[in-house]
Amino acid sequence: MKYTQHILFEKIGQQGQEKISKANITILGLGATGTNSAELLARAGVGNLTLIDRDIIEESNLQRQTLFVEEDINNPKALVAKEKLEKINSNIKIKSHFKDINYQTISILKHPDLILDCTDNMSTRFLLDEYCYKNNIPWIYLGIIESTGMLLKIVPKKTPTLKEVLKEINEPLDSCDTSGILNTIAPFASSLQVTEAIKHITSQPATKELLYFDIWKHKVQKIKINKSQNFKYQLSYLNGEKESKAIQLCGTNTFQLRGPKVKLEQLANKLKKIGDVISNQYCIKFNELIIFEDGRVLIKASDEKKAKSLYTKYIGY
Amino acid sequence: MPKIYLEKEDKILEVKELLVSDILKSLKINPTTVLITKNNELILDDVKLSKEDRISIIPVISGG
Repeated sequence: MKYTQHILFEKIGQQGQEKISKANITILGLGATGTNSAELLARAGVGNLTLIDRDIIEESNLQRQTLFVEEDINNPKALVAKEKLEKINSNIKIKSHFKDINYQTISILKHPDLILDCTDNMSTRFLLDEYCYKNNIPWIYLGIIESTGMLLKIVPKKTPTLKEVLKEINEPLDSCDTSGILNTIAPFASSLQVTEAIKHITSQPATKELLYFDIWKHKVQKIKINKSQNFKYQLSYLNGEKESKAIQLCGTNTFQLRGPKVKLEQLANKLKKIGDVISNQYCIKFNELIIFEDGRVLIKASDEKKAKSLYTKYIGY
Repeated sequence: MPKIYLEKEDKILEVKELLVSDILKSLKINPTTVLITKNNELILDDVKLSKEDRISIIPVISGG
């Protein structure tokens, strides 16, 4: 009875719902898109869900991360999300990992039917692109910021990969913590992502175009992409070559991370909107971070996961 | 002159350059941080436009 309305919907039907109940989907990242997508998948009755996230819940997450409430603050997102989803649907199996995904840990993704990208940085997405390419796993890229979003379903060897569509990004991109985000974009974007996921699981044709959408403008644009003839796929994130490594400075709780070069003045102006910034021509000092123009960042944090999390939050990429 | 729609700024500009990479350079936009579309199709920055063309510049989205 739980899925009557899905079964009545002719594009799913009894057969489709049976496929959904046997499906195995991994959600990487449990922020705004991850919590919304996870809830929709659990309610749809996806039989096996795996949830992965490295962060703990902060007060500022509650504006858009639908599974969490005030009493969850300071607890790991992955573990709390599992508890909440089990209350929503006790008939499905849910695994959760409170873990940072990097080239050394990505094998915990194993081989699900589909992976939903709900991460907040391009470095992890390129790593995921390579993992999925190597292991032939379909996945759905989803990014959101302000009132906009971007989505692309990627089927290795059949559709263009993320590395074919996007260039090698050499400058930090905006993050939700510096540019802001309208909370309505998250459920909208997740609805598109989960619809594509359901279409995939029930073996129906996918949207081949890259979707760009802006909920403020009521705009959804389908962008045609062509597989490039001369593109040769090479691994560089999966073997650790391009992984952003956090090095703990000896005897301190300071971690050093390296990313793309930073435009100091531009970043300082963004950070000034959310806190006190001390900057000069050489570096920016902001909260626990000291940011250098060459892409080096020193971060005071309790552990490597927290340091990476602060990097993504305030610098982006 | 080609017309350029800047998606983030919601603004249309006219430029004198025809090569997409030159347009990005003149607008001080890092080509790795944006997607360029013409008639709802992704194009590369080595494309040369005609004077009647209209393209859109869309920032790559990383947040989640």
